[in-house]
Amino acid sequence: MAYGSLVAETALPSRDPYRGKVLRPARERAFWPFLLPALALYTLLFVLPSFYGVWVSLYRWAGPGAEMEWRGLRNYQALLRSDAFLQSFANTFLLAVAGGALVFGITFLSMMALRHLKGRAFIRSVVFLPMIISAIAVGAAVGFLLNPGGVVNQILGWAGIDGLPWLGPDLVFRCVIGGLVWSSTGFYIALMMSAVDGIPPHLYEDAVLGGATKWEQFRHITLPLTWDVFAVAAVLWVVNSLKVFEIVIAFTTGGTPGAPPLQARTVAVQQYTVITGGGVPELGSGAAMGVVVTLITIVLIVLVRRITRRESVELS
Amino acid sequence: MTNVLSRTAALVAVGALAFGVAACGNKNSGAPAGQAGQKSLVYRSSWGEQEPQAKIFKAILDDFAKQNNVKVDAKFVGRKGTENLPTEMAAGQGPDLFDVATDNLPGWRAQNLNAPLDDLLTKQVPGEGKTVGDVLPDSVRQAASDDKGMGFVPHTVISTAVWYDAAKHPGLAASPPRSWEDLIAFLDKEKADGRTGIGQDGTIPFYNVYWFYSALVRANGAGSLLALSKDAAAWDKPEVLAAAKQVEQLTKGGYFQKDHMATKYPAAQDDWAQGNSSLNINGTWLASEVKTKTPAGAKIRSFQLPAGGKNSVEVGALGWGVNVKGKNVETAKEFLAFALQSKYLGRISTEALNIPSRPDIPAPDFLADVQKAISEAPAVHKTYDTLAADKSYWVDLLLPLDDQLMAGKIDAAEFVAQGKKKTADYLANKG
Repeated sequence: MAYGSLVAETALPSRDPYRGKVLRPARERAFWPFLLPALALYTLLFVLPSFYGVWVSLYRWAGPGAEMEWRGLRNYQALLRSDAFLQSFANTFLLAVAGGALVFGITFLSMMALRHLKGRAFIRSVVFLPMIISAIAVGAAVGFLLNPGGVVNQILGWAGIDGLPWLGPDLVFRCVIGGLVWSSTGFYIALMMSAVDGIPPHLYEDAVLGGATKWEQFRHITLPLTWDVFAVAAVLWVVNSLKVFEIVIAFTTGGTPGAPPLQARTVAVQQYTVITGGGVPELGSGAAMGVVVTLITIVLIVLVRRITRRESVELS
Repeated sequence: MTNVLSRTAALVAVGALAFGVAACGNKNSGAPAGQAGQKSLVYRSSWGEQEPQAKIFKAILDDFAKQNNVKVDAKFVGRKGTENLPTEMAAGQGPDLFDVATDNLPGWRAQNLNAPLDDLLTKQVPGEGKTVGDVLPDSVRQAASDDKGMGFVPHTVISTAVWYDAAKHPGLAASPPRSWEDLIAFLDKEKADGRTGIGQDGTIPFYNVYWFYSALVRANGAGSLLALSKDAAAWDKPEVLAAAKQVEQLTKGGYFQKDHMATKYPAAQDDWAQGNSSLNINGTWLASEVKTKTPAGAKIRSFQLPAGGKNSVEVGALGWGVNVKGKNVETAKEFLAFALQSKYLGRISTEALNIPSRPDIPAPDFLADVQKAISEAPAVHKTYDTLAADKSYWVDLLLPLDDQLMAGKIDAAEFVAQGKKKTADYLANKG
């Protein structure tokens, strides 16, 4: 629309004799030609499929070739009444909050501890490693470590402590959170440490001369100067934690085509179980879950951005 | 000049991208070009290239191609490689032949992708003087059919049984349990001797439910489990409580290994293979899955869960469906009759170590009990009584509820009460 009017304006003979001679800056002229291809692609590949997803969520549909049965908002109502969806939703929320507290707690501790250390680049690489290990390998290791007769319970046994049913219904989701914290903390440490490395050392030297403790240094120097990166990392965590999928499979039904036990399901897993595997796919229900999660992701991102909004500290 | 160049470059890039996307969409379409007048057949398999089934099917396709002058294009892409197949097929881009099983037939049907195959039953199996209908028994045809008729042609029969090592339990081999009391007496004896009666990979809900499903449907026949999802009042039937009580008895009796609900697949079945537990309820694929863990002297055998009543036996099948939108439907059907020759299906037994769909071909030794149970069955039912097709009932309601029963968190009465209430809610929700 705006592009059209721009073209129309330039094409019309100007009443103002000087107007046509005023050259607009090259940057302004290039704005729409540069933006349009990206906008078109984004619309084609993201916006339209998203609206399509919303449309599908209003139907009962097994996929292309199947009849679509109008459901209106009943797919959404059914989700709110489904114990399975509510449990998977509660699990996902717990994962985002408790997992987030653990990940950033450990990250902040590392920022305090690693700053002076000599081999910190090496340590950073080591803690980053779990991130790149495939879920299949994690799944095999989980069985080896956490099964009732696994390594962890054996070690507890040597210490005279009774083994625990780690992967049973009561503990499995805590193990999933633990696994996720283990696999993703390295990424956030790497991210935050690169921000810490950018802080001029003289600030810390001044603080030490002033008698600041490590905690005070962290509180008054490290944290304010890395806050922008933390705000981004927190958003990344929220987005990623709402999509947690493969680690659940690795801890439960990995290697089989079955759906994981209810206690361990996240929304992404729940969504996967209704559209794949044997049986009649329920794409409408899956799409409704997608819409709900997208809305919640947006709300959470806005909240996180609000909580983390501060005046950014700039060093002169 | 630079602007023009970069714009051209951008256009070329976008064009190449679009072309690439279009090419991706087309790569599996149609038949490969062959000689003039030559027929074609395209097969996309959910078997992986290294699996014995892939090797057998490749050999059959090669023979078929040579003998019938057909250009065959077969790709063995594995389970993950066929996840988008329904969408491709619905768009008219899919192969002619694809893999179907009893438990996923409803999914294919919902998308109207299976060509009707009932006309195949009168087709001759080459060189045998028999028709397809002659070589496949009723029970196997039923496993591949629904109310719309035959949806695929089976090459393999699958079922569920209770497995044991006859080398370690010669008593079981001589006289397998004939009643529930016999089974409990055996388990009590194992327990008294300090052995684990049953190995159970309890983190897999669809393995846990084998007990309740087998107890209910073996005694009460096809439709008795499915009925629970259709009417909340079906939960009031005494046989439902009776089956749940049997599961409760197994849980409370302490016959499973310690912390069975926390045992991650395949630890319990591997342990069973190594003789650390006596029984394992599982599908007919169990022995091949644990083959490398099984000691040399083991002699794997099975018996049907002794539930009494109708003594119905599960018959499921794996086979090939024909894409209704495929370009070579007739050639695909010709192949199906060709593939049923005993010299080919014999390899399902000898190489894939499974039960062939033709009962005149003997199954491997360790599956002989199941093959016999099926051939002598007074009644048969399909895998999970077809209830697994209804995902929101199966995955969200029944399996989690059964897990609670298997974990001993609820008793049989609570299982039935909750099942009834949840079913009423589910039906109201389903609208």
